[in-house]
Amino acid sequence: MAPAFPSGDDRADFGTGGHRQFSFHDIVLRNRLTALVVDGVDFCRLVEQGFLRSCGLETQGVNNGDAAVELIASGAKFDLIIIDMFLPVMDGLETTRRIRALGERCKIVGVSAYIGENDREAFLAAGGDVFSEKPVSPEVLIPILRELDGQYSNI
Amino acid sequence: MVGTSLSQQLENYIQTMHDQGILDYHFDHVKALQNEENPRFLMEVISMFAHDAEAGIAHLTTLLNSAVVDFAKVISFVHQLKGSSSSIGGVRMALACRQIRHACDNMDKERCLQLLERMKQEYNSLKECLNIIFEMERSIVVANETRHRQP
Repeated sequence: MAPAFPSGDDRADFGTGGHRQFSFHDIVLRNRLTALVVDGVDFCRLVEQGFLRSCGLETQGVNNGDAAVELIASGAKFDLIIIDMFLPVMDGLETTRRIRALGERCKIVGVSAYIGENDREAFLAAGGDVFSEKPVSPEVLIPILRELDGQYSNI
Repeated sequence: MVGTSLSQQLENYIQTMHDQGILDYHFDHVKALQNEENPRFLMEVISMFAHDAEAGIAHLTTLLNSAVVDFAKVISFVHQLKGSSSSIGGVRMALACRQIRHACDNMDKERCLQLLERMKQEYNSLKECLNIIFEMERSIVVANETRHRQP
């Protein structure tokens, strides 16, 4: 049985310069994994793709939901999609719904700079899997990547 | 006796910024992305962050000084600024952005304007810190390039 993924709320608050449980280099992938990053802020997308690449993933990035949906509709396959909830034009929730409506079943992680009261529930209802405050931390991402890579043994 | 290396000086400075609460561990994650294939990565992200942040702050200033404030647009820019400041480890600037968001939720223009000034102060502190890191990084890159060129 696969372990439950930590949510953004499960992250420990490490404070400023405190001890960190994970770094993005704390994983060695056995398989080729791909990820799509959907973030309208160029700087954030650069950093998010950087984190994923440092974990060994191949990544693509787009800056809006329409481009993400078009990419999936064209047949592009990803093991992981990271979607910012605050996208220009079509927001992250609608982007998630449309990706799921295309039949895409990969892991979708929603990220947001500001998490409101019902945001997590809305994202899960839209078909997302894990919701995290931005920036996504290794404590959230590494367990997800290990599961995608098949690094957890079946019980 | 060999003095403190440039890299050690940089590490010491970053730790000081941690101790002062200006940077958190997210900065360390970003810094760790730099490698031999991309030795200028940290300089690039600092430049990109500063460029985007200043544009965002300029937009916010215009919007909040309008006769009728479009709070939906203000929230959009605040969201972007919080996301990018959090991503580079600028924890105090991110907190200031969060406070502006709360004021937007209450449609409190005066409070937003007060908090905007506080956020600008936090950005200036963060920018000063990042500029010092940028210059130290540049010195390290130049020193390494010089060393590699020597026979």
